[in-house]
Amino acid sequence: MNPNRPEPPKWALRFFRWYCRGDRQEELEGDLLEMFYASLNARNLTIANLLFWYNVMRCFRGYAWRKEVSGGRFWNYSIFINSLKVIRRNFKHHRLFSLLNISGLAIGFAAVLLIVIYLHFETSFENFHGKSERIYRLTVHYTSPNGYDTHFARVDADWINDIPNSIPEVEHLIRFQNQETRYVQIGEHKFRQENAFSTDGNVFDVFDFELLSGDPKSALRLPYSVVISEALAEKYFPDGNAMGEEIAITGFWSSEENRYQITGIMKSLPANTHLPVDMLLSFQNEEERSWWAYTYLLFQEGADLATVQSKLEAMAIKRYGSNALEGTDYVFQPLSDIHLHSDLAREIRANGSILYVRVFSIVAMLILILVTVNFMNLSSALFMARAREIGVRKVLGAARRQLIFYSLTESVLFSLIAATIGGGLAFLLFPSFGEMIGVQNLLYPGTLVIGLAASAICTGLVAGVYPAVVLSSLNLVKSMRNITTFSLGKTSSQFNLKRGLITLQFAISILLIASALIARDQFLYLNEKNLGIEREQVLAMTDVPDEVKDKFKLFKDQLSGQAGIAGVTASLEVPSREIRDGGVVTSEGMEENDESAPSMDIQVIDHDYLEVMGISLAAGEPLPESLTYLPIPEFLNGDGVSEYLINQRRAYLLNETAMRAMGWESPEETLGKSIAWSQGEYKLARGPVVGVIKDYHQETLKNKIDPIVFVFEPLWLRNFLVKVETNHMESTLELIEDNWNQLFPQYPFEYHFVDDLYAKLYQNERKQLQLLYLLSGLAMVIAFIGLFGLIVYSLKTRTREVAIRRVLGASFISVVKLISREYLMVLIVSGAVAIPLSYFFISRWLEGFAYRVDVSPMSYMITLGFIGLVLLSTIALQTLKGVKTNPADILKDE
Amino acid sequence: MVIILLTKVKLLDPSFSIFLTNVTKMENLKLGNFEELVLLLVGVLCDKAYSVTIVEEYKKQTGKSINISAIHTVLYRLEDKGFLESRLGEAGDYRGGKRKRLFSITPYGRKALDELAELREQLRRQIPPLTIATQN
Repeated sequence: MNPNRPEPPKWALRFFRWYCRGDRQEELEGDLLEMFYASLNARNLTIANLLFWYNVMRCFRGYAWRKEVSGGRFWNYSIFINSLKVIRRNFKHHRLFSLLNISGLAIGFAAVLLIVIYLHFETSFENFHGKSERIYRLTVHYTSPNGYDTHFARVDADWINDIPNSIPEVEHLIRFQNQETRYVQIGEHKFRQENAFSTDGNVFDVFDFELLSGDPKSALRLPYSVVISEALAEKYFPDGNAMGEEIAITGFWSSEENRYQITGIMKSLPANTHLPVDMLLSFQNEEERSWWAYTYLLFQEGADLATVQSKLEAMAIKRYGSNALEGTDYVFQPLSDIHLHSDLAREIRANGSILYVRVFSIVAMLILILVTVNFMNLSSALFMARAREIGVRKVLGAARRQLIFYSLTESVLFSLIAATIGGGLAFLLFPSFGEMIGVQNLLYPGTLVIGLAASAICTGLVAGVYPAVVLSSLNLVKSMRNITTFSLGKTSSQFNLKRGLITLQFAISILLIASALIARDQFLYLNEKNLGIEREQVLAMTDVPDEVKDKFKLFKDQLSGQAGIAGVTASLEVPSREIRDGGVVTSEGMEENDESAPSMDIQVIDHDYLEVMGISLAAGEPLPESLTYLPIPEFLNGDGVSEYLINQRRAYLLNETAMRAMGWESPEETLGKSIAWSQGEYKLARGPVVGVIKDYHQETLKNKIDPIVFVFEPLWLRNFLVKVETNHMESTLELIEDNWNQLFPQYPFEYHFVDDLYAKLYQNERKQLQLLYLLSGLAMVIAFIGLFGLIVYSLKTRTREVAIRRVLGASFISVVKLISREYLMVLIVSGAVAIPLSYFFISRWLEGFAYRVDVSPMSYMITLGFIGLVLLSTIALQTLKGVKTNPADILKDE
Repeated sequence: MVIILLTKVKLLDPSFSIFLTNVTKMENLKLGNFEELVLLLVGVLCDKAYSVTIVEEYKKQTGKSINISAIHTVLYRLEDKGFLESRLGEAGDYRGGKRKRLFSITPYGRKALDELAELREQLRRQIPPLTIATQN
């Protein structure tokens, strides 16, 4: 044969061989080749190649196709029963392996099941509202040239009430107002009621709040009606019917008590909503329908968002002239997007994040891959051990298909058993898991079972294909004669599937463990970083009602100096919470509407605030005591507030960021400068800067420190802070409560510890971290199970080799070295793959924090070291087991 | 007509499969036009008849070209019907070392060809001779 003769196109030939039936392959291929060579002689190579392709395609016809093996030949009841029997026997024979195999898979299934429940929960938000696709939330984004930039989840423009009349595409507009905290009094019992909203009577036309009693059409039509949730009804009226009862509700701004009638009881809402409603109140009058409200619009079927948007903007311009939209953006959010995509200022509750949903989908996938790979490795090792059995089957005439079928039966069966165990495990784990990360299972058990069974079958098939193909193509003679040694292959000369799979496993483990370690670093940092403020031992009574607030001086005087009380102070925003009020600060000579005047947050504080909270001054002094508590005048409907504010004497403190925002270089330069603060009609009189405060973290470390101006104004001290001494905590708390009850008998005494408030800021991070811990732990267990199985197996196949080496004088150490070398190589390779990936992901995550740790190489070292250690000790222990036997016993078989 | 009657009789028989394939198989025992041509070519090529030579011979005799897959189809079908028989022939480097399948006509095939030719001849002979039409 002429060796230089061109070959026909490889892929065409491959395709032909694939489709052609065996008994005609030779003659047909001969024909095709003959024509190819003939055309090669007559024409050039390209044309011959094309013609060959053409002919291969043309021959793709009935006479050349594979003959299907009729079903009866390998799908046979008795053969099936027989294979089940053999599977059982093999299971008994290789009990350790089979159990390892199944338990690894079971853990994997449990983990994936939990993640699926979590992901479903996160993505199912608002799905119980039937019209959720047509409901949009109206939000407003304010910006100003002074640097003010806040996107609010609620809207404060009153003209939007007119939208349903002016824009035909909008069917309803529903306002949810919770501008003030509500206090409920029933007999002797006082409750502070969260999640209570004033809302419109047609709320039930838009949202599917299911009423257990009461008529949705009329429940909230009349003023002073209230609908409460089932849970609340039980809390308020533990032994009776709440329906129709009257309850007294006090607002936050005034001490006026209003009596509301319960006109409906609502089924408690599932947890997957951003709008957790416990109480709905009807508006007392039309005037109450104003100011800040979470505003939802129900669009007509088929209404176009862009049209509504432009009509809304036209409406604003028509009312307030062409510059109505300057610095103001109205943004619509689809209801179901709010949970994962929103995260604006003043959300009703903390939102989830699409980032975490993505991360955990990837993690679920990785674990599934890990588990499948494990299963593949262990099953193929198991099958190799049974090469002799397979050989006998082949000799007795088993067709390749039958062997594949047999092996698939086994892997699917194993996988189903594992799924059952995994399902049970998930069922047992779920209560604590759900509580840990705040998730409810909203999937039907039937769906879960079917999904689990389906994925078990798929996993079984995928995992079973590789060993099935390997074993069915085993060399008959070889497999009868000897068990092949199992190793990962010597060098990196060729790609080896086995080695690839183990690399993948290691890489996934490294990725998860290292990421969890770094995330942990960041979390510790968040909780332990020196904030510049002392949060220990400080009690906070947050958002006190107006009446309480106005008596702060009394409260302070009564408590100060008593045993166990280290200090009493108050502020506008409790430390840990973002400051929500801001305004423009002007220095001397600046006009109020000067665009270069910086926008700053305002923190109103009592004189002792710095001392009690342990905040230090860079220069100057705290606010002077000469600014005293004067009796606060009565304001009717807010009239006279602005005159009152401008007429008080002022002194200011700035933090360092604010100082720089003013353009002053050093604290010394700043002292004695005079500034004024204003926000709309509220203006504070010009006064000197008496001190510069060292920057401290008022809010979460996700955000940069904002410029803050500190001022004294008794009108705005809404959060009381009491520093207590550690000993006799209980009696001190009692003392405070007694004083409170004496001064404010109509309000419940409720408090938080400031360090808890700070910890609460990272609730979401804590949840995610715990989930990550759990998953990386599981991944580690799964990977370890797989590794352990492989090492045990590979040592088993190499018993004889090890025995000979020992006879020839090899030490224990050198044997361990020999075996572990290939695994360590794989570990290094997978580290090289996983570490950059993990670095990439984790630095993306860290970018979400304004203050963060550096990614430390230590975490990677620890991860690698840990895995390496586990690896070596497993190998050493298993080898030790082998070393104990006398080599002669092993070798005498020969 | 005979075929239809046969099928009708068989349909009454409960052991007879009513699948249409049986009916078509019966019809397939006839020789199609193209099948007859290929059968003739196999005869002409004598003991050298296999797919590639048939393609060449077809082209030589009719002047038209044809794809080999068409010839394959017909050859295998004719073998199924019993008009042809085959054996594996010699392999050669010119066909990549693969053996070829050589076809030859069975006596049944030869008989079918003869009968067809006879029928044609008989019918042809009965056509009245061509006369030149005159205008009177």
